[in-house]
Amino acid sequence: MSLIYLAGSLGGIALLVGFNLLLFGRARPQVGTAPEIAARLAKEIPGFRAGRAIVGADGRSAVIENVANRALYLVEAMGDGVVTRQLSHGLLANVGRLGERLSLELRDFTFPRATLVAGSESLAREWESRLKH
Amino acid sequence: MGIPVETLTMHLPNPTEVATPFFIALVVAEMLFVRLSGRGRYETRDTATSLIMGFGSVVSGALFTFLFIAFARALAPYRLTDLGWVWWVFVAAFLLDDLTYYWWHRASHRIRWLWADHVQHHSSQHYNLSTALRQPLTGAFTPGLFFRAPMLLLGFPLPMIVFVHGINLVYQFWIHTEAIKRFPRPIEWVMNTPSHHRVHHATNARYLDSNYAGMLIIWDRMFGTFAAEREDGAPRYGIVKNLGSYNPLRVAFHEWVGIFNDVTRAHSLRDAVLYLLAPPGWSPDGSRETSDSIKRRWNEYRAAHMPGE
Repeated sequence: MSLIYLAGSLGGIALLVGFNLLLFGRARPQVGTAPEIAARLAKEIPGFRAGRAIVGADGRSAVIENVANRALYLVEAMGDGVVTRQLSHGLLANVGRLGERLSLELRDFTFPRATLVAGSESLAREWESRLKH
Repeated sequence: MGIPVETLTMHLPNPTEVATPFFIALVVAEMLFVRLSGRGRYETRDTATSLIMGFGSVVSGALFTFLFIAFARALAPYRLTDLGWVWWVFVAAFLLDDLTYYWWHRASHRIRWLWADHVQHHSSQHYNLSTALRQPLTGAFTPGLFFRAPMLLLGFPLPMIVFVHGINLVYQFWIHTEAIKRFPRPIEWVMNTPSHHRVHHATNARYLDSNYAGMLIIWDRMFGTFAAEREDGAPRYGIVKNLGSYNPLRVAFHEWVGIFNDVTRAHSLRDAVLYLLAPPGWSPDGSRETSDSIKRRWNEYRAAHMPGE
């Protein structure tokens, strides 16, 4: 493998990423509305029935309940898609709150933390309590 | 008996190196197509991760080539014959390489040790030509090399094995696209196509663990792992637990970290071994999801709620 090949490959990568940016811009990560999140999870999880949900005021994260098994799901916007995790005690390392802002620490190498801006302190407190139980 | 000198020195081009400019041109063409037609998706950071991993994979492959050479040399005394450079040997090499690719690929989805490497290729939630270039960095740390043993032992020349494998990988580049819907039925019946490979990259329960083919889809039809793409089942791409990071190093090592954590916390030697060799998602108490458990749950749900399916 020659240095020219390596240099050309790096140049090609820069060119392609730049062209991608030019054509498609930067994605604005958004999880969507609660019904949109519910519809998405219903496709992914057999038997999913949406219960209570909270969508962050910044639209970047949400927590939604599956009435079928009482499980809570964290949904976080990433690029033009989302990442979802079922919040079990094994996964959720810590839940913290500062005013209306909830911080979730996860035992997950690629998804170590998430922040949820609840919109009001009372709502944040209510969901903090639910997440801790 | 060592490997004959002419077998080692016969010069064949590296298909991947030859194809690289075409890869770049085709990615540009597909981006333009997606922008103009709206069919398919590109996301800048996802593309960057895929391309950087493709580059890293080439470098890592070059750094660890010595392992393959050493493996071939270790097996050389046990070769049954020397098949030489005849045209039919080339044809046989293409077929046998594709068959061994099928089994390596199938094992890579069913054995966590191999999955830790292969998952990197599946980690994008997008399905476009840049995804084809999202290649693993850690193949040298898996036992994947052993799948090359049959061809080496049967006496195929080493450069021929490397060449046909390179052709196989180059073939698989162009099938990572949503721009092509389907080919005429005879082609779809024999060849691996974009439609078949979309199914392979999908996380929909009905599509999990199917279509392992490299070039020829006939292996999946023969061994019972074929699934056709359905009009009512648009593929959702990625992995069951999609990654929350674009960092190529996190993408490359996340499953290895998972294995390390599980093995070091295992309660018995049996559990430790199974964390490494059982299917991805296996756990002693069955509390985690495997592709089998997801499919079983989905089949139960379908039987109860979608009887007409």
